[in-house]
Amino acid sequence: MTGRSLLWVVLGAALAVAVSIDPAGWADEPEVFLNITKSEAEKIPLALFPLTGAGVAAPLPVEIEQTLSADLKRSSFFSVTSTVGAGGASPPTASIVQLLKSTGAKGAVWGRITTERDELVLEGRLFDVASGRQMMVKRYVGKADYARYIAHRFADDIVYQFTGERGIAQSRVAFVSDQTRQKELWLMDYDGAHQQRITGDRSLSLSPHWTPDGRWITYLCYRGGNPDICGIDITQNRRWKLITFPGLNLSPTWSPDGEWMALATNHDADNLELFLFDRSAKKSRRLTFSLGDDLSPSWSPTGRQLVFTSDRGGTPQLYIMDADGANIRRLTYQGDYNTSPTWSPKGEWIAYTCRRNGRMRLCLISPDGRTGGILTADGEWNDESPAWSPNGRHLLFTSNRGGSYQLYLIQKDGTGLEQITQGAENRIMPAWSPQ
Amino acid sequence: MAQTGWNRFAFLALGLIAGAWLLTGCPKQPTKTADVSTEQVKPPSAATPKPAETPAIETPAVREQEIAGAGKVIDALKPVYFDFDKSDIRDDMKPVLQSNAKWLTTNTAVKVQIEGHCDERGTNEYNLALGERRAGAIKRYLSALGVPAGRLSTISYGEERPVCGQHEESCWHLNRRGQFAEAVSRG
Repeated sequence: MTGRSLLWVVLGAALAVAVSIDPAGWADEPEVFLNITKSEAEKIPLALFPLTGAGVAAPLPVEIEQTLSADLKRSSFFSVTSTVGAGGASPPTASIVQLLKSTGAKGAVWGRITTERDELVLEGRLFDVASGRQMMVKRYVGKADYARYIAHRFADDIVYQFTGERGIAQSRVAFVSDQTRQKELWLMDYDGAHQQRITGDRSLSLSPHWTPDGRWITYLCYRGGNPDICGIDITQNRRWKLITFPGLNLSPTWSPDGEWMALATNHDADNLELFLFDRSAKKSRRLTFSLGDDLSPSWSPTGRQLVFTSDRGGTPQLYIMDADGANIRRLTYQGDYNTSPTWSPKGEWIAYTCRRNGRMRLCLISPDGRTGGILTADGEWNDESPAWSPNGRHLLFTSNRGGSYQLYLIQKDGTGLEQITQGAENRIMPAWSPQ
Repeated sequence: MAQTGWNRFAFLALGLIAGAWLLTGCPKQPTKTADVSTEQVKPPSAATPKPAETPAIETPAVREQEIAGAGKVIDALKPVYFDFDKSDIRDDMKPVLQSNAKWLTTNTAVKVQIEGHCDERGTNEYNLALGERRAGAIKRYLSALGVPAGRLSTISYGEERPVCGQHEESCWHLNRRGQFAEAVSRG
């Protein structure tokens, strides 16, 4: 053994002690849902070498590295340890990677940023620490303005390499904001970056919902002087009205196969009832017949059932029925105000807004009603409008815990609370893109 | 704080590794660009419309009438207030509706849109339903007093158009209201 490799071993041994005592992190998390919190120990430890940049403006490697690191942590799969100081300008050899073994790291991430014909190039490499073997190498090429997207792409590839699951770092979120004084629809990256307005209706635009192919956003629009259902094809910048019955037309949500839109309307009754419409809004079918209001439908991932809000029993509660309107049963019995249900993409949970002690919280319940609980902590604020991430591991929601209403992220186990948007203006009603 | 100390140590130690790696020289593993898969990264916003400043683009078949807001509020018709989470007409609001009905039966040319509003408590969609019920309750009450239903339309704004912005009951009771505007023809 050469003196040099001896040095590595000594350093590695010191690290083994240091890194294995990973801070629990959630110790000060006020409330944990159902004790299913994934401990830090169960996360995959990743060592992130500092990204090096040659011939690129100084902030870029930092921005890419920070974005990448945040994506990896936010994915909930990894605990990420960054190193201080410069990383190697060339990829590490297998023996150097293997030295990280003693730190507990399972994977090592290395990247180098260069330019090529005015474009940014990130060469990203992922290593298996145990074997020192390279798991992946890719070059990501794009304009310097797209640095964050380059990082997101690399992050999603890393998630895929370790879990076989598609990451969410490239997903987007539609939401409602009053930044122009009127409530309009906006679109942003899942981490709050690149916010841009997509409607200019100058009236009232609410309740965005994506089609499963991610091409259309349907929403509640008042620009014709009535709460109608409008659509935007965001790939072609085409806009149209889908449903214009006089009265209230609400909550246009799409079936998983994209063929049917469930919505609430009172055009055919004294109160809101649920209907299905096809994509052309020509064929329709009435699903509910009750004396109360039925609204806010959300599809099960199989498309066979719908969960919705109804006050047919006197207070707003969640109900489940088959997609043809049969077999209606009440799902929630705790509390006198349970609304805005949304079925998780994997089907095992329904998230909703529950009122407890006069305040709105996020709650989860299993579709059989047997298990559930409150997801967000108690306090003098309201949490509303849960929206699932495409992989069903996270929820975005609206909260005024910081003053104005902003969008917050939380893992479905109640950990990892993160404020995604900031500002004096409100940002509400998030809708997460299908991918 | 002990954990923070350990963390610092971990960072420092990993930093030493990286530093040592630099000092020990570059490993002999040249980048073979030809073997590396390359992906062109474009922002999703390439597929995103520019913010529409002007009236939204419509398919030719759909007629579009730009309406910035609702119709003008009719000052002669007094607003009606509601209890929290309720849509029935309170006893103290019945005289208000009776005087509104009287005005409407003398001003027969006026078509009215009854707006239902809520305070900020509650969820947005359920409040839209609640506002619709409030507007409907007012419409039924006025009809019962002889105002032709054909002159009365309803619209719910839920909690989206408060008249008072403080987050307390002093404002909330003013926001839980039905108000009366000139009916606007639909686009």
